[in-house]
Amino acid sequence: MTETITIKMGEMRTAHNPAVLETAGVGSCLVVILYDEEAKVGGLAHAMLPHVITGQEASSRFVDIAIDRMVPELMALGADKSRIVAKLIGGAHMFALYGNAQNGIGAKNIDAAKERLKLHHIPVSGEETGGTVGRNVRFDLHTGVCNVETKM
Amino acid sequence: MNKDLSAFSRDSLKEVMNIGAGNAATALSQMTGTPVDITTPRLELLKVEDVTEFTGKPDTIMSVVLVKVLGDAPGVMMMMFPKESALKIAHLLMRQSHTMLDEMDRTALREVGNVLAGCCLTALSNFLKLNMIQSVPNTATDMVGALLSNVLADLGQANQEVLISEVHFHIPTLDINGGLFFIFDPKSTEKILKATEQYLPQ
Repeated sequence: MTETITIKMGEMRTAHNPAVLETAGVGSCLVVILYDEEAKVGGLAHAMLPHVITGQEASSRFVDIAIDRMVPELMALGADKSRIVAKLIGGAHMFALYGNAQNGIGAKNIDAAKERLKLHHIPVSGEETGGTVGRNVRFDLHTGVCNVETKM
Repeated sequence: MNKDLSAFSRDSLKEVMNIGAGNAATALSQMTGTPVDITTPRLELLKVEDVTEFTGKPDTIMSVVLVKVLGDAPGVMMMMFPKESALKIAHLLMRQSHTMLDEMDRTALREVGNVLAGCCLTALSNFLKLNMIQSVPNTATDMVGALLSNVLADLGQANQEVLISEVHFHIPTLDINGGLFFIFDPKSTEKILKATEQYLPQ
């Protein structure tokens, strides 16, 4: 049976096929999926904020830390860094009270991820970001297919 | 601030939330013309990323009216309704009925939020002698986890922990349910506690 791993806000998990990685209620948060199709190894992070903040514990709730930690974990599971591709989901803008669509936390999360991925030389193969809608994400490590569900 | 609140601080804070929610419930009762029941507050000091679990399953659809609290003790006040309850409230006020929330309904909900937040914050502000100002209300209907993440990310920029409290309310005659949430950062919590020490009998 395929194991389904549910990732909560602020968490990051990696796994080897067969497994399904899923997370629910992605708003301004950003889901970063890294995947090596040949090794069938992948990881999913549900990060809240773009960059680690001084004085706060460095954890996967920050986009940059989540990516930095996921890459070596995937390589330990047998992924080849040159084959890893990224998918980005989320980074929406839910309330007008928190800035606008261009400078809100969602947009900053997307920018931070792209910047960090560039540093690791990881290309973005798919993106479902922005807007004003919440998303559920389900990523199958066997097929490499990522399902994004909205409820509105 | 201590990670765990003392039993006394917890009781004081619950009393404060009760005063706010009681006033909001009275206002809601007058607006709808029916009695409104409220529960005693639930109160928790949580890591920012754990807050969504406090409010239930992250993919439940909710209508949220969000008001930022500004002034001496900044925080967030949220009214959260299941979609059906949000529709009922809007239609009660707009005196019409359909199955989707349209722009007029959202305006009605925002207005409800505005009035309730006003009652609540005026009561708190008078009781605690703290200056509390409300922002304009925002509404959104979506998965609660997604809506909250935006609020939490904003608070999470400066804090790892927040104080969250919930008062659940129910209008029996109309079968309307909802929750009134307050989220305060540790600094504001401390300010509120200090004020309660002065004004609540020990």
